[in-house]
Amino acid sequence: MPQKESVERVKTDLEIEEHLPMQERGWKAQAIGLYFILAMVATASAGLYGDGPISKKKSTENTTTVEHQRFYRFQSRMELKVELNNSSKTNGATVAFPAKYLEHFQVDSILPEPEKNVVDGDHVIYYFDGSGNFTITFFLIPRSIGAIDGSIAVDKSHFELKHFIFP
Amino acid sequence: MNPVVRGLAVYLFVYVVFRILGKRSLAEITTFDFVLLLIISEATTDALIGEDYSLMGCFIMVCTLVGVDYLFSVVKSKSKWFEVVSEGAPLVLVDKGQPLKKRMEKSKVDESDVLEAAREMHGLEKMSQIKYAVLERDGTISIIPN
Repeated sequence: MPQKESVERVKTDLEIEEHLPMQERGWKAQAIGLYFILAMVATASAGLYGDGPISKKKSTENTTTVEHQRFYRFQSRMELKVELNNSSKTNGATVAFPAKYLEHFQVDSILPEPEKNVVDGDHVIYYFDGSGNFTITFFLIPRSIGAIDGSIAVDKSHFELKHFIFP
Repeated sequence: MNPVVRGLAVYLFVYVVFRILGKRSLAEITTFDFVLLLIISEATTDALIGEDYSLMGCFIMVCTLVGVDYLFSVVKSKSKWFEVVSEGAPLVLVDKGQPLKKRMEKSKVDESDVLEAAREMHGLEKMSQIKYAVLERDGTISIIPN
C-alpha cells in the first residue's frame, strides 16, 4: 500500500489505544459496505427482489398471456396475472394449478372471484365466468423460501412458472 | 420463519448497516435523522414479528435480541480484536492544535465539528487552543484544551 494513503502517525500523552491498522481496515470495509448498500438499492429498484423489470416475466401462448414474478419476498403479496385476449370466447376460462405448487403459497385473493374451484387429483382448478378479453389476478403470498417451480394450465395453454423467494 | 433466526438476521443486518455508516452517524441526530430512525424501527418491526402477534412470539423476540446483545458484550470483553472490529477505537483528530486532515477525512469529521465541540465543552475559540481532539468510540468528540 502506498505510504501517502495511510493516515498521520502521531505520538501523544493520551492513554488511548488507537489500533490504527485495524481502523484503516475498518474504513476500507466501510467503503465496501457503502457500495454494498448502493448495490442493494440499485438491484432492488431494478426488481431483483420483486416488483421490477428484472422480476416481471410475461409468457404468451395462443391468445393467453401470463405475467408472473421471477423473484419475490417471503410473506409478501405477489401478483400473478392471467390475460385472456379472445373476443370470440364466451364460455369463461379455467386456470389449473398443481397442488404441489400451491403448497408453497397462500392464495390471498382472486380478482374476479372464480365461479367455483375444484380439486381434481393433484390439481386445483379455478373456473371463471366471462366473455371477451378479461384479466384474472391471483394474489399469492409465498410461504416457502428458495426456488419454487410449477406449471399452470389456462384452458389448454400451459405456462411454466419459476420463482425465487427471498427470505 | 423461526423467530430466533428472524431476530438474529435483523440484529446482525442493522448492526452491520450502522457500522458501515460510521461512528458519527448517530452521534449528532438531527430532527430528520430522528424521524428516519422511527421509520427504520417501523420497517424492522414488521420483519421481526411477521404474522406472529402472540405473547410467546414477543417473549422469544425480546430474549433473542437481548441475548445476542449480551453475547456480543461478553465476546467484546474477552476479545480486544472483536471489540475494536465491532465498536471501533478512539482516534486522535487534532494534535497540539494541528488538525490531522487525513484522519478527519477518513472518519467524516471536519474542522467545524471539532471547533463546535471545543466551544460547547470548554468555550474555546480557536484550533490553536486545543491540545488534543479525540473521536471517541461512540462518535462524540472529546477536547483536551492547552
